[in-house]
This record gives sequence, C-alpha cells and structure tokens, in this order.
Amino acid sequence: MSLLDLKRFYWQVTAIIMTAMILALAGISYFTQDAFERMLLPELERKAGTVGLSAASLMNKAMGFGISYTTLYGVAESFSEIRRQNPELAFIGATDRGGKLLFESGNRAPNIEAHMLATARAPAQQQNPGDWTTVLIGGQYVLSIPLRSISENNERIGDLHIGISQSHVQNMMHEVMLDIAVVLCVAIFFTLEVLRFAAGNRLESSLAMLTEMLARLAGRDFRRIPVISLNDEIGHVMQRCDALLATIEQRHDQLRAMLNGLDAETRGTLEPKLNGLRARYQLGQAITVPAIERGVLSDIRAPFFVFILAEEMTRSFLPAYIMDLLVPIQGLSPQVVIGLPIALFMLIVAIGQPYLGAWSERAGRRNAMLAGATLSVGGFLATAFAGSLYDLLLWRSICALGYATVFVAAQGYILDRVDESSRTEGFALFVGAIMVATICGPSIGGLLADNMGFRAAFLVSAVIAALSLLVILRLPDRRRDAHEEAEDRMPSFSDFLRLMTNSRFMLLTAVAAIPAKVILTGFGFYLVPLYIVSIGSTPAMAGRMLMIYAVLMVLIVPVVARYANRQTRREYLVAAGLCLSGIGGLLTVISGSFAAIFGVVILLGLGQALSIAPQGALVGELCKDEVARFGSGPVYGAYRMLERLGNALGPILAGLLLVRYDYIGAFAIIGAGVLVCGLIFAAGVLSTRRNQAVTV
Amino acid sequence: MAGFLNYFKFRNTVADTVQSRLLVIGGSIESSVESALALGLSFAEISTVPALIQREKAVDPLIESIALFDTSGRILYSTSTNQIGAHVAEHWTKAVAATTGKPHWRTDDGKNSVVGIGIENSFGVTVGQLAIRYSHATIEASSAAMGHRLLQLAGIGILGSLLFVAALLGTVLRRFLGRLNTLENAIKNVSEPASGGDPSHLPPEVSKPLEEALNELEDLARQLPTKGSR
Repeated sequence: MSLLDLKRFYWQVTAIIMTAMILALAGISYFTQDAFERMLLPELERKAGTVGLSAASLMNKAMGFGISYTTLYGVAESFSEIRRQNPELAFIGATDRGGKLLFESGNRAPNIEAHMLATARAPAQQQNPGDWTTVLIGGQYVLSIPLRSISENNERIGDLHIGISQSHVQNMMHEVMLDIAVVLCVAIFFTLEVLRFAAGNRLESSLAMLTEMLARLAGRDFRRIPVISLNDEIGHVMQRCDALLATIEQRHDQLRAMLNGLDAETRGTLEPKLNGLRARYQLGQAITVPAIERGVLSDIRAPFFVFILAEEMTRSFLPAYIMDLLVPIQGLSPQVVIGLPIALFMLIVAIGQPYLGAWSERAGRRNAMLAGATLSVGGFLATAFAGSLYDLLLWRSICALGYATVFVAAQGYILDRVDESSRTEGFALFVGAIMVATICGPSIGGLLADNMGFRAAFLVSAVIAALSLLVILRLPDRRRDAHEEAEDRMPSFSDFLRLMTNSRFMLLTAVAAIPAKVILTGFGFYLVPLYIVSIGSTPAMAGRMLMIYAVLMVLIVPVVARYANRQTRREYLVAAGLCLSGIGGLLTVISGSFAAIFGVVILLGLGQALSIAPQGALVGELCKDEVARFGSGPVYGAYRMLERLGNALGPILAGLLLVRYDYIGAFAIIGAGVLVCGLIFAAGVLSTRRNQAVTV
Repeated sequence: MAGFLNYFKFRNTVADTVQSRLLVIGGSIESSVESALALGLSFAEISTVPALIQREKAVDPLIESIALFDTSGRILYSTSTNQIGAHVAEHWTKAVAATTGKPHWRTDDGKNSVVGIGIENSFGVTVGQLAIRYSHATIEASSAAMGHRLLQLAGIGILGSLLFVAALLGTVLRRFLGRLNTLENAIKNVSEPASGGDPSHLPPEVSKPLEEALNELEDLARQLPTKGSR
C-alpha cells in the first residue's frame, strides 16, 4: 500500500463528506426558494392592496373636484411614481367598467387583457387589502381591486390591476443564494478543520506513521520503533512490520553469536559481511523520537483556528459598527475616528507580541492561551454592549491584548515542539489555521451582522472564543526547554537603532513590508468594508469580498512559497506583489463601481500572496550581515514589529486621506504610493545586489 | 447555518415588506397634512387629522396606533386619544434624531415597532413627525411558519446527508480495512511463507529490501561451517 493509497483514502473520506454537504445545501436551497416565494406572497399581496387603495383614494380626491374618471390627468405618472417607490410592482393599470385599459405604467403581463375583461364582468371582491388574492399571469402576480367613486354613491367605475413581479421574489433569493454559496465555501473549509480535529488527528498521524514506516523499509532502513502505541488496524500492520524486522534482527544476532564461536580466519571472512549487512539495513537500532509531535501539533490547530475565527468574524462589520457608535471627538474627523479602534487593535498586537511571547514562555503556553482567550471573551462581550466609541476603544484594546497573547502563545507552543527540520511543517499548520479562519470569519461575520445586527454578531464571536477556551483546556502544558532559542526575539534598543540605520534592512521593511501591510489593513479592514456599505451594499457583501481575498491567499501563497524557495530572485516577486496591490487601488479611478472594488480585492489578494512568503525569506537573504551580527531573533523580531506597525498605520492613513479626499481618492493615493514603493524596492534591491557583486 | 440564514433573510424581508406597506399609509396621511399646512394652517390646528388617522388606522389591522407629534415630542394627534398632549418615548425622539438623509425612521417598542415620517411645511422645515405603531404579530407568525418549514428542510437535509455519508463511508472504510488486512498478511508471508498471505500485495519497493535482507542473512548462514566440518 503506497503513500498515494493512504492519501487517497483520506481524500475519499473528505470527498464523501463534502459531497453530502453540497447535496444537502443544494436541496435545502431549492426547497427554501419555493417556501420563500409561497410564504412571502401573502405579504406582498397585502402591500399591493394597500398601495391600490392609496391610489384609488388619490383618484377619488381628484374626482371629488368634479373631474370624470376617464379624463383624469397624470394618473399614469402617479402610477410610475408608486412603482418607483415600490420596485416589486411591475405593472399598475386602471380599467373602465367594461375592462378597457385607461391608464397604465410598467410592463403589461402577456394576456392580461383577457383577465381585465373577466374581472370587469365578475362581481366585485371585498374591500379589505388582506382579502384580495392574486392570479399568476405571465410572470406577474396580478391583484385586481374594484375602483369605486365616492362622488357616484360608491358605484364601481372600473378596476385597478397591480402586477407583482415574480422575478422580484426570485431576485431576493439570489442574495440568499450568494449567502448559501458563502456558507458552502466556509462549510468546506470548516469541515476539513473539524475532520482534522475529530478524526484526522489520529487518522492522519496513523497514516503518516505507516507511510513513514513503509518508506523506511523501501529505503532499507530497518530501524525499529521502540513502542507502537496504535491499537487499530493501521497499528496491526505496523506491528506486523515490526515483527518482521524483529525476525531479521534476531536472525542477525543468531548469526553473530554463531560467528563468535568460530575461528579467527572464518570470522575475518564473514564478520565484515555481517557488519556490512547490519550497517546497510541499520539493524539493531531504534528510531529516535519523531522530530515533530504530530498529534500534539494538530491539537493546537483546532483551538487556535476557533479563536482566530472569533476575531476574524468582526472584520467585515467592525467599521460599520464603529460608525453606529460614532461620537464627535474634538480635533478628529469621523473618518479618522472610525479607523481608531482598528489601528489601536493593530498597535497593541504589534507592540505587545514580543513581550507577551516572553511572558507566555514563563507562564506556560497553555496558561497564556487560556488567559488570552478569556480576555478576548470578555472583550467581545463588552464590545457587544458598548455604549459609546470610548467604551469600544477600551473593549477592543482588551480584545487586542487577548489576540496578541493567544497568537504568540500558540506560536510558542509549536516552536516548543518542533526542531529545525520540522519547523516549516509546524508553521504551515499555524499559518493554515489563520488562513482558513480568514476565509470563514469575515464572510460569516458579515452574514450574521446583516441578519442579526452588529451586537448579536459580537456575542457570537464571544461564544466562539469561549469555545476555543474549552479546547485549549485539553492541551497538555509543557514548559519550554531551556536550550531552545526564542523566535523573533525583540532586539535591544541599541541593536534596534543600528538596524534602523541599516539601508538594506530599511529597504525591505520601510519600502516593502510596511507598505504591504498599510495597503492590506487600509483597504481590507477599513476602506473596502466602509465603501461597500456606502454604495448601498451590506456588511455581508464586505465579508464575501474579504473571503475572496483569503481564498486567493490560501490558493496562491503555497505555490509562491515553493517557487520562492527554489529561485533566488525573490525581490521580483515582492516588487510584483506591491505593484499589483497598488494597481488595484488605482482601478477605482477608472470606476467606483462594485466591479472595480472586486478588482481591488482580487489584485490585493494576488499582490499579498505574491509578496508575503518571499518577503520573509528576503530578510535572511538581504540582511545576512545583520543576522550574523545581531542574531536572527532580533533581526526578525524588529522586522515583524515594524511590519505590524504598518498594520496599525493602514486604517489611520486611510482615514486621514478620507478626510481630505473621498473614498476613490483614498484608494487611489494609497494604491499609487504602494506602486511607487514596489518600483523603488525593485530598483533598490538591484542596486544593492550590484554593489555586493562589485565588493565580492 | 443555511437554514438559519434563510430564516433571518425571510424575517427581514417580511419586516421590510410590512414596513413599506405601512409607509404607503403614512405617505397618504403625510400628503394630506402637508396639503393642509400649505394652506397656511398651523400643525396643531388641522381639524381633519383626527378623522383621517382613524380612517387610515382602520385600513390595516396591524396598526396599533397612529400619532403625530411636534418637534418637542408632544403628541398633537393620536388614534389613542388619551395620549394626546403627552410626550413620546425617548427612544422615538432618538430614532428621529438619528435619521439623517433617510426618508423615514424606525424604532422598536417591545412587542411593537414604530415607523415614522417627517412632516414638512411649504418651506421644507420639519414641523413634526408622523408615527405608526404596529404589531409584530404578522412578522412573528410568518417567521414562525417559515422557521418550521426550514427546520423540516434542515432535518431532512441533515438526515439525508448522514445516511449518504454512512453508506459511502462504510464502503470506503471496509475496502480500506480489507486492503490493510491484505497488507498485514503479505508482510507476514515474507517471514512465514506458509502463513497463507500473498506477498504480491506488498508493494515491490517494500518487499524487495525485506526479501533481500532475509536472503543475505540466509546466504551468510550457509557460508558458516557446520559443527562437523569445523
């Protein structure tokens, strides 16, 4: 059974669950549409009835001045105005006693004339809006109301026919369908996470262990695993393999014992052969403890994912919520004020992480995660009940502290359990959890805010963060080994100053890393959610946009990371990423439409995906001397902190630009700035490399 | 989740439809009052308003009351006559104040909602507000019916997918376990050819080194001199 077979089994299980989910969602959506139309129709009929009575009353008012019904002036215009205010009404027409159409507005349903004639001949229906029923004619639910003239003793003078567009109801469902598509996308990623957590942890690690064992056998590595703890079918196969290895080992030991009893000459001939065999197959040795504690690492992914999800959920509607709580702050424009809680959050995360990392090392990763998640639960709850912007700033700061704590503690938890060879795998797991949360969070948050309101959506975030607490409680707590070096350690102040005056380091941070983050948070967390709502869309749509960004990241980042590992000119990728993001912002100059914003998000996603992985790798490459001088921890620590300050700067800069210009101006200026940074970065790196080549 | 989203979408759509229906009635009152104001009457002295609002209230059974109040929040006309002269609840005036650039305002009043429209005189100055208080009963009833239907659909969907997953997963799992069993027997066969397992089920890249190691050991064993020959 090859590795491919084992993987195929895992994917077969996943595919079955996915198919079941897609089929269930498709079925639910189909039948919901039918129920939606059927149950909404009575309400639309009642509304059309009320509109009809209002129009009839208007006509009666005119007839009260002695104007005859057939010669009324401006009726069609009045109908058009009513239709403008009530877009579900596709047609309004008034007939005389014989069913002949006198006034109309909108698209007449095919064959409605026959219905008008039949209505004129039939006795009049009741006069209450709730009692009327509609007839479906050519894609319109037509409601017919008798028109009576008060000045003619309430005599029936004709009929009013109001057509409710069937497609209007179906269009309402389109929005629901979009939501369901989002739910489906989220559900797919969510299911993978749950599978990974519920069955995958064990299954994946069992499959991986068996795969490794078979691979070792194929590579003539007959070392044995000291203890095979698996007691399932996979464990049985492994035990069988181990028994076979034990047989080989015993036979080897037997031969050696026999050899020892022989004369020196024979021993001299056969012993080297036996030793060669022992060395070739690594007999008599045991496998050391696996480099990566798979199960334990997978255990951290679930609570971390759930926790990040709680925070990510707020991204799409937080700016709109802040706008709701907005109070005038002297000297600050509302646009800047809206960006304040977002910027403050980012600032606390940026500054707090290095210190919280060290603290979590002392307190224990699990304890730190528990403390951080508890803080966040409190923060979310309080945010849900925030009375003013000032409260909100405080509660969001608590959330930021919680977020930063959990982030660094989870990162530390992984670092504690990996070695140099498994570090990439450990971080892939960490980044994977963040990316999946970024896909699921904003879209679901937007939907919840749209349907239940902002405060209820924050309460849901609090519940989800509380759920993460329950899973964190299950984690084992192990203190860091003393010999292990902290990742991204903060540099001392003097080192920091030296780094800040280093042109290569500053080229990478100030011209690439910070602008990349400024455009990410400025666009993604501030301008896009606000602009989308300002052009009449919903927080749910903002969430969908952020989901598209995250999906692009998930799909492209691994590919770019592999490419960046292979090729040395990573600066091209970074520069291309910056330029693409910048061009995205400039798209809004051509059009401020929804499609343009879609383009902005796509290019932002592409740009970030291109530049993120190579940027990290370039730190080591461009700052070799600095790493040799200060150590990798301080250099990366300073780089990450400056990069995160870019996160905080984004919303503030966008807000300031919004004060001076409009949304389009803000998009365009940030976009142009980042585009220029991309070009400067490319030129700067080329020049640095040329100088290095000359020096060499 | 899909059912939950559909439920809220339906509830919001019904609420919006009911509200826009009542705004049609409100618009009719608003235009009558503004016509009277255009004739030079004071907002507090339009004698036709009480009859007008009673008539319009009768049009829709959902309406609990209709009131018109001035800019200070004092009720000038109401279908609940005992409220005339009283001040409207604070959250009404807050909702009015929060309405900037919108044609109407809305607030919730426990079991009821209130939707309102500003009344302007001929100079475009807002002289007061028209408020229609209406019951949530219809919205609750429609939403409950829809919720029930969605619950049924979700139940069927979940049950159906569970059955689907159970059936297919069972097959895949059986096949996988069968393959593991064959693999186990094949491994056993390498050291115990009489065990009955088929070694061809073991991937050659795995079986070959194992067989080679065993053969090499046996070769060495054969090279060892027997006791008699020593």
